[in-house]
Amino acid sequence: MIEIRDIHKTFGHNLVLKGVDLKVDKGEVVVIVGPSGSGKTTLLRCINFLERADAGEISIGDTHVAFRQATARQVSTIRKQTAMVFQNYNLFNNMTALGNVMEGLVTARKVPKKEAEAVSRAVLDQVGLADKCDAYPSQLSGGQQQRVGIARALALNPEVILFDEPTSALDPELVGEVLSVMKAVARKHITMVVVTHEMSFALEIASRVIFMDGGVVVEEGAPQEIFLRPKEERTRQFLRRILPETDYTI
Amino acid sequence: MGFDISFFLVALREAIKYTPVTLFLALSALLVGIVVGLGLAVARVFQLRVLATLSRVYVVLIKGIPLVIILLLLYMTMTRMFDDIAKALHLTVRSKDIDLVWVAALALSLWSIANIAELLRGALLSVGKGQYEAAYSVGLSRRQTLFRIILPQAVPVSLPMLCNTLIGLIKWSSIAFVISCVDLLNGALIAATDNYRFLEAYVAAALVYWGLNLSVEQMSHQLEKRLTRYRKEAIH
Ligand SMILES: Nc1ncnc2c1ncn2[C@@H]1O[C@H](COP(=O)(O)OP(=O)(O)O)[C@@H](O)[C@H]1O
Ligand SMILES: [Mg+2]
Repeated sequence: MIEIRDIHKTFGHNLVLKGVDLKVDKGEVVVIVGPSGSGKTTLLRCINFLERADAGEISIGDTHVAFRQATARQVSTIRKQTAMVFQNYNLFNNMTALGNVMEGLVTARKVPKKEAEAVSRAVLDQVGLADKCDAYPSQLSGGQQQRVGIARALALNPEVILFDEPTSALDPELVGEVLSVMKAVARKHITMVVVTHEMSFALEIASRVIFMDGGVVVEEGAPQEIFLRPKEERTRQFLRRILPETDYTI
Repeated sequence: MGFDISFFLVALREAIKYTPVTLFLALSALLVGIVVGLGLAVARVFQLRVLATLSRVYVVLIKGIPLVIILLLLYMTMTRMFDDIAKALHLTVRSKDIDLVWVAALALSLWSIANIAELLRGALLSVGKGQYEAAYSVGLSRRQTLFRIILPQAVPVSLPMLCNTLIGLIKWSSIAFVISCVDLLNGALIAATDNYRFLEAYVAAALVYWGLNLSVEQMSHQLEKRLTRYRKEAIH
């Protein structure tokens, strides 16, 4: 289980997160939606300490940490329990697909090479890339790269995997393969926090949808509720923009 | 007075004989430049406070001064200091006894540190922020990120420039002759002091420098091909 309380983050004079709470139970898939600039990426980056939040606390498993005061050791403990899938994949360019997946295990966690390789080959197989183990990122399509990105996160067996718009950099015809891998991951009851505007994914897979705007959580609930019967005007406005054809008043 | 081929060959032999001195000067400066320059570049890119400032000041300082002046300043202060210390300790050795090759090597090193720090900084910056973030997100420390992810991508990028620096160092090492250090150039010139056939000596020296630099270039091409395997394969 992961719980975040009252997280604040400011860039200069720009208040980006103004006290967000987030609680995700084990095996839950939480989808975060919201307009561009609402702080979704910043929230995920703060959870993974790629960005240092100004205030708030986080609990993951048995670790409880105040963002601001977290020591290097605590940061590393939190990072070990979270994994990130990036919008631009961010695969290590100097390593093969297999190398990418093994790196965290071998270098950060000191898992013996043989064992790490077995685990890594298994997860690459899981994302349908068993035959691409020796390919470098530059030899893979965007969809394949993102599946390696997911495999890299899976291999670490974290408490939660954070996805930041994992399909938004992809050509439309490649979105499907990545979404279906993500759905397969969700079915294994792996805890996921996913920033995405893929409504099909949210409706089919999400346990909960959170709508963020202006650095706060405006509304949250079951996907059908948020998408079909939103309570807040801001949510309606947002949905009107991304789902112009939906008539949610019925 | 025409071109004396037989003396040219004598000068050539002298130039080749002292080539190891030139190579020592250039390679030691390259090595020191890479080690210290890498430290300065990393300090800048990772924003290590004191070191980063130090690095910036050093680069600005050295890059603004001609190498000849660095060499002469070093020569004067080093010899004077050495004599003072030796006198104070009642030693009989004097600065004229030290091998000037060390003074030249130091001057070249000071110069190459600044140049290599700058080019390595550029190479490090050419690796995107996303690579660091991905590394941290899978749990690598900053040091592990540097050595496992960033440097393996930055080094191939910097290789052609490092090769240029080495070629530059080989050529610049010839200024060692202003402090009468016997290197490739000075070796050839000394051979000509009796008969004043400096033209032959200069041509002989030029030929050897040219040969050296050509082979450096060849080696760097080979090395680059090997180090950028992961990028090359994408093209084919
Ligand atoms: N590193 C940064 N420095 C300064 N401002 C930033 C930085 N990262 C994000 N921001 C600002 O924070 C706000 C929220 O950004 P972001 O979290 O990326 O939103 P979202 O992912 O919801 O589109 C934006 O106004 C953006 O300009
Ligand atoms: Mg974003």
